[in-house]
Amino acid sequence: MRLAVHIVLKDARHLWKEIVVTWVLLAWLTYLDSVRSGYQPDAAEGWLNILLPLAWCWLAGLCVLQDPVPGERQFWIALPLRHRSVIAAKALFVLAMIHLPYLVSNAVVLSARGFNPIEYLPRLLEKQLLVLIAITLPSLALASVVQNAMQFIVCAIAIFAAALVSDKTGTFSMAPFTFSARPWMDETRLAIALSVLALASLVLLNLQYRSRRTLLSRYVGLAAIMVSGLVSVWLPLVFTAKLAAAWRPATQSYPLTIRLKPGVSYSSAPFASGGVNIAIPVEPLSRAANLSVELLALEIETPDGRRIKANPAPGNRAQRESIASFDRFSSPHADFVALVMERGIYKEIGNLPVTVRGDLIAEFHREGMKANAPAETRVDVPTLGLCTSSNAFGSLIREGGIRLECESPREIPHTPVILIDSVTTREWKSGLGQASAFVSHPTNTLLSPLFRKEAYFQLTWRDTTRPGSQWQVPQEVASHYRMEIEPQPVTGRAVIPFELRDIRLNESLINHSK
Amino acid sequence: MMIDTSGLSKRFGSTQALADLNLHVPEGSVFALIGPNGAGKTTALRILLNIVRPGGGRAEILGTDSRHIGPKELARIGYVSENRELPEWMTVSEYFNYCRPFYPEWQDSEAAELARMFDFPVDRTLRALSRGMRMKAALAGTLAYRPKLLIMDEPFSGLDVVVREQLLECIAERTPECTVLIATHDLSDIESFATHVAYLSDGHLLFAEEMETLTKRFREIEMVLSGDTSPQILPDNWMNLKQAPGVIRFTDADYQPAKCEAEIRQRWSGIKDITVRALTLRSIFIALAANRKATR
Repeated sequence: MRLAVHIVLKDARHLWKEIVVTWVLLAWLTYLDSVRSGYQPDAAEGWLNILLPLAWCWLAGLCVLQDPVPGERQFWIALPLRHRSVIAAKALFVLAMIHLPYLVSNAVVLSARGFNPIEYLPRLLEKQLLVLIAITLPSLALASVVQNAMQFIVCAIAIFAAALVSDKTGTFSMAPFTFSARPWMDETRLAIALSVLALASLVLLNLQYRSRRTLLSRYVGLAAIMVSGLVSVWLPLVFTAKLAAAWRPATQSYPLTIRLKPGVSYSSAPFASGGVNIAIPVEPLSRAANLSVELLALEIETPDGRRIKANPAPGNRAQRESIASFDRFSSPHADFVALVMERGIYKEIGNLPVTVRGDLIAEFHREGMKANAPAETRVDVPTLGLCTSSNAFGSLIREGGIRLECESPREIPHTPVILIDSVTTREWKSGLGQASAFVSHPTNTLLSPLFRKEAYFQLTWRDTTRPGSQWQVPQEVASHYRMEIEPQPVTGRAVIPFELRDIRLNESLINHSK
Repeated sequence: MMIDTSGLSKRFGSTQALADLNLHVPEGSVFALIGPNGAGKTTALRILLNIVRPGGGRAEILGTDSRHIGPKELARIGYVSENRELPEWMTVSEYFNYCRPFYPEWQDSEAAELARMFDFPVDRTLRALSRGMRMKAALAGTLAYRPKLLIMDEPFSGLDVVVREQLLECIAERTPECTVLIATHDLSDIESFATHVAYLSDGHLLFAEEMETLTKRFREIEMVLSGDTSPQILPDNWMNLKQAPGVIRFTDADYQPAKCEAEIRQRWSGIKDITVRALTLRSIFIALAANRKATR
């Protein structure tokens, strides 16, 4: 241990500039996260959430490369010390220069936002684990199989490039810029991929520091990268959803069946361009119980047995290469299984009686304890966190709005929010996380110890009694309202298969764009 | 024995770097491992220090199997190599401070004395030093803990005469308490102070013996004769036979005066004169290399 500390001090003396850079970036991020108002970060904070992990990768890699493992000319390999002292030194360096400052940063952010860091220690350790398996451990492993910083950079860029090229759905490349529509399913996929990488990193570090078997270690690393890449790209959504459901199975029975609801049609504008838009109406699902539903997989079978698989549409990104993509959305009268289909395919099967089958995942919630937030206040909502209601005043162009911002070190559950006019008791319904603003900078704040969500009610000067104005709140309500917040913690999840027979897609056609 | 190898071999791909090496380095000796570039000297040293795993055979160093040498053994071994990458961003004093905790026997007084002797600019980084100064720093950082065994790989290559002399003097002062194994292809440096010498060529050990025996064993023989100088069947220990009208010259690798003369007279008639010359280590090296090339 004495020698490990001695090596750490040596590395710290040599890498002090790099250490200072990461600490400055971290301090800047800590400040921005501590004073942030709003659920979305500004551009600086968004970019720092990308830059800082890169800086940490670089620092962890450099610390290993102070005493490179491959080769026969390094100074340290003829020193009288056990190889485990060297790996201990590198681990200690990463702990002291990356993990400890990050832990302190998280604690500072929590304190500044009104949370007791001790109370949320498991959450902070979870963030440490995430940084360890996603950043520091793979960086240490990669650096242990290369000879110098240039090789490290080239390999890291090659790995990122391979990830970007193979990422056809944009899940990886767009992750910093979007909020995942299915966070816990994507997290399961990410957790599997990262676990493979982390496990391989441990094996590789052990191989390298025990017996310096660089060639074998490189094969292990390459295999791990390929396996985790395949896991993230090719693992079916149904599989990760089933895993997520198995992690938190639904305890209650769920009388949930998907049935057609004939006689309802969707007549609004097309929901995606570049194909034929179809919306198959089904019985409302999400209003049947405290649950939210996501479509996972869809397949269309024609009478002659031909099967067409559809890809899930991630977020609102079009799937140009798919013959069909699907999503699900609701209207006041029905839910819809929505398809965007290639014109050629549609012409072939549009008027045939087809079978539409698939899987969906239902997430069950229990009714939580309601809390009230008067106008312009900050309240502590049990099982949720701290919520602040505020008026966002408009300008000549924008009419402004009323927003409720909630933050918590715990994941924010499904939370309906009702805005109530204190004078007339008229209600407007929304939910945390339903609001999103489009910005051009990264918005994912993976390094923040806090989850943040917002509910937004648009204020208007126009007449809100007209049909279609039910979402808009009159300006005068801004001075006398309260909000009813009802966090509904998740009680379980279940993957449910469904099958709709004898569907004629042309009966559910929305448009046929040229 | 400080070092004892038997049947040591190593192959890199299709290249046999070392083949069946049997080497015995006695305590207190200055053992020169000589051979041309690519002979396998560095590979042999790296196997001894467990930097490279042997392909076959075994090596013992300070009585321990080289594959299992640990901090205890390495703390008693000094390793100075032109190929060893020093932490060049450190100043000389930082370098000494960094090395100190690894060696329980480290003597600050010894380090200071070496620094004074070598006249180091202690506040300059190793990168900013000349090659000779860097090698001196490496040697000083090794001698400061008084190693029982000093292993040096081409320590003098590219150094000027003055620096070589300084380094040699410094090493010679520490023998025989410190056993020295020095791998080099530069023979003039070690001729004066090596007690043992071994010759490696293409991974094969051609001989290993005491310096005194070796220099006694090798002689260059030159004959002037009036008779026929056509080739005869020669003994195995005669090498590099050269003929010119009336003159024959060769190297005897196992010179015994009476036996040699008898062998000569048995093969040639009309011998007018026989001249026997002692060989320098350098000449022996060249003769062996030439013979190796001719018989390959």
